[in-house]
Amino acid sequence: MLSGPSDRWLSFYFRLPLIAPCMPSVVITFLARSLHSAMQHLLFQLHVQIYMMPEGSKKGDLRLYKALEFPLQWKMEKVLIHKPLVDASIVEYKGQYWIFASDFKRFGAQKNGELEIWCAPTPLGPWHQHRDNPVVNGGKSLGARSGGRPFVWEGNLYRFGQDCGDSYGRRVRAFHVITLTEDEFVEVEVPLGIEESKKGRYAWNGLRYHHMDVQQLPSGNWIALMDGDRVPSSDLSVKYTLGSAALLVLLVLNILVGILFGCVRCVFPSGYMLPSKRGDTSLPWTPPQLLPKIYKAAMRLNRSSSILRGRMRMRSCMRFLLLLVIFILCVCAVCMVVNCFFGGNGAEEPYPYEGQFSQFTMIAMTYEARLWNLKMYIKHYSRCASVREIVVVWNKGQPPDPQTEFDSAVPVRIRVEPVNSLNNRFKPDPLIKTRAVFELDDDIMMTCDDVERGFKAWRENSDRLVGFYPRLIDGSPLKYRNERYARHRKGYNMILTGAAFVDSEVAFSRYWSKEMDTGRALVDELFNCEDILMNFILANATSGRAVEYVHPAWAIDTSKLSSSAISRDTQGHYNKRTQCLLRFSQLYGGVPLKKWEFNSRNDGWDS
Amino acid sequence: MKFFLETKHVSCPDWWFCLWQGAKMYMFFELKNSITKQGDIGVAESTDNGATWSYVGIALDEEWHLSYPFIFEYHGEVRVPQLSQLHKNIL
Repeated sequence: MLSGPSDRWLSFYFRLPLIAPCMPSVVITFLARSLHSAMQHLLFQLHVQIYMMPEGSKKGDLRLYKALEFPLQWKMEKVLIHKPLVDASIVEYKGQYWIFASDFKRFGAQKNGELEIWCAPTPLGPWHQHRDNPVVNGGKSLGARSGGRPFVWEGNLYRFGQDCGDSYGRRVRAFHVITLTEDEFVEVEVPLGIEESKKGRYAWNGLRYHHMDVQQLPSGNWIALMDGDRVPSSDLSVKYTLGSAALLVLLVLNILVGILFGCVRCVFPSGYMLPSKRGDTSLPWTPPQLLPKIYKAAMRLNRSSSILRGRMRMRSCMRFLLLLVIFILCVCAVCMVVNCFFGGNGAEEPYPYEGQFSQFTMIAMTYEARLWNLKMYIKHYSRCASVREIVVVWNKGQPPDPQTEFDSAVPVRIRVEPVNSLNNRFKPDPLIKTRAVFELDDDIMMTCDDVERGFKAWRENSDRLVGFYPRLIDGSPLKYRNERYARHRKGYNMILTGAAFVDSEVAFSRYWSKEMDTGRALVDELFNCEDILMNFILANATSGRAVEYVHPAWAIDTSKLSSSAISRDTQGHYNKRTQCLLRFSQLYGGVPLKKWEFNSRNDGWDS
Repeated sequence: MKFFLETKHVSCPDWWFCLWQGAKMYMFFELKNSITKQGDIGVAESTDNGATWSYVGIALDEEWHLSYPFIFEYHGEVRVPQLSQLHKNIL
């Protein structure tokens, strides 16, 4: 009996002396003799028992299980209610126990729109129905079906319901139960207080959340757990159906090709052609008059395919065309099958690091002439799962209105700068709420998945500059060269901050420190090289590794298409940067950058 | 959640409820067995108030589909055992 959940037992064991003085003294004397067995008995009476009441409506009733050995061993205690109740939730309120549940088998009950209440003096029963059952019976978006644990706060009873409007478990709704007695029930909806993400399936609860468990911690604080889903509830079956259909099309196309080109012929065993006189050779499940029909059809198919083949031979171009069409259809069908069965949920999900997810702030520096770029940028990146906020460093011209100009799933903040300077992108900003900042030029378009991979790599080593554009600075005299050179030399020692994750607290304050005044002045003088300065600063601050590269699956640089980028004149740009390198190495006493090889990560993200 | 990978034969965790026991937090949830397509009740535990979870095992597996594992504690009535019962125990 005592082999149960030890924690709970222990707490009652120590509380026992408080109860003992109330007992007759004679008992206490006797207890001394046989303390152990008596205590066992007493403890059993006081034991807090853990129960589970899962939904098992397929069995047709509501059952209660008792924990024998928590958490893995359970025993069926009793059948509470002989009805197929779903999503039954118990709460103690005003000295009674109440069950909120749905019984969709009840006559006239609306699927996902029915709620009924049961009442009992203890959770073990006896349970009896509320007078007005079903207390709610209507549309499935009403939130009738239970969506988690009801709770009492400041004497008021609240319950969660599922809004199953667009899809099963679309969202959770909260209700304040104003009146609850055995023959009365009144509830009103109250705000849930959780803002829905606009990121759609890129957010963990973007399309559905249908369950909440709110509980008070031993410390007195409250904690709430909520579920979430990126796909509608029918998504899996739709995908399987589509995939199977595509597979069928693929099969039919292949057979068709076979028939057309004579590799496959419809063969019909002659024994089955006509029933014999005794009629016992025909298949038992086929009506005898059907067999000749099938035989005839097969013959016709064979004949017409050979006619077609004859024509094809004459017109080889037609034959080629038909083959091409079928081939393309087959490729499409294969793609569809692969996508449906192995394509996942279609969302570019964030990567956990040590089991955790996190968020970062994006910083884009721009000005008036590049507004169209910025709109596209915000629309795309604001949907990426880990983006918390986008800060636009506005260097020149009339700033746009973030409320009306952009289609964004996260807050957009325009930070208007008094001076048009490239140093502004690394300016310490107390309004940035995350440590991780993703500096990304407004003319670079890349996938959310690449961004998320970069973010994970940064979280592994948050003192590094982790980015997508590697460079190798070497030679005597120093020369700035492109990525191809770094690839050729199989290593890099610099990461461009046009697309890089950096620690906003440490790196930004270093960049804007007094010692870097001359460096920043040089950046302003040349209107270039702020990223080279940042690389120098970070490399100088550590004896270890300061930069890390992540290979983007694809990245488009739209500056090649527009005329307003500073790096458009490539040769001039490179010359300027070579000049920077020389000046910085003079300023900071040499080149602190260390070379690192590509392909050093186990996951191959830096290939 | 990450720990579902360790169990291999399960997918689609759905309904869950939590319970604290001492410093540990337990989560009971519906696990769909990918072979039988039937829901069982699984358990995970957390020692950091729900920040990270590790899978413990299957708590309940019946012949029919189970979900919505509503879990709760019931303190029962505090009853001091009757003298006659105690007497029997002691003897």
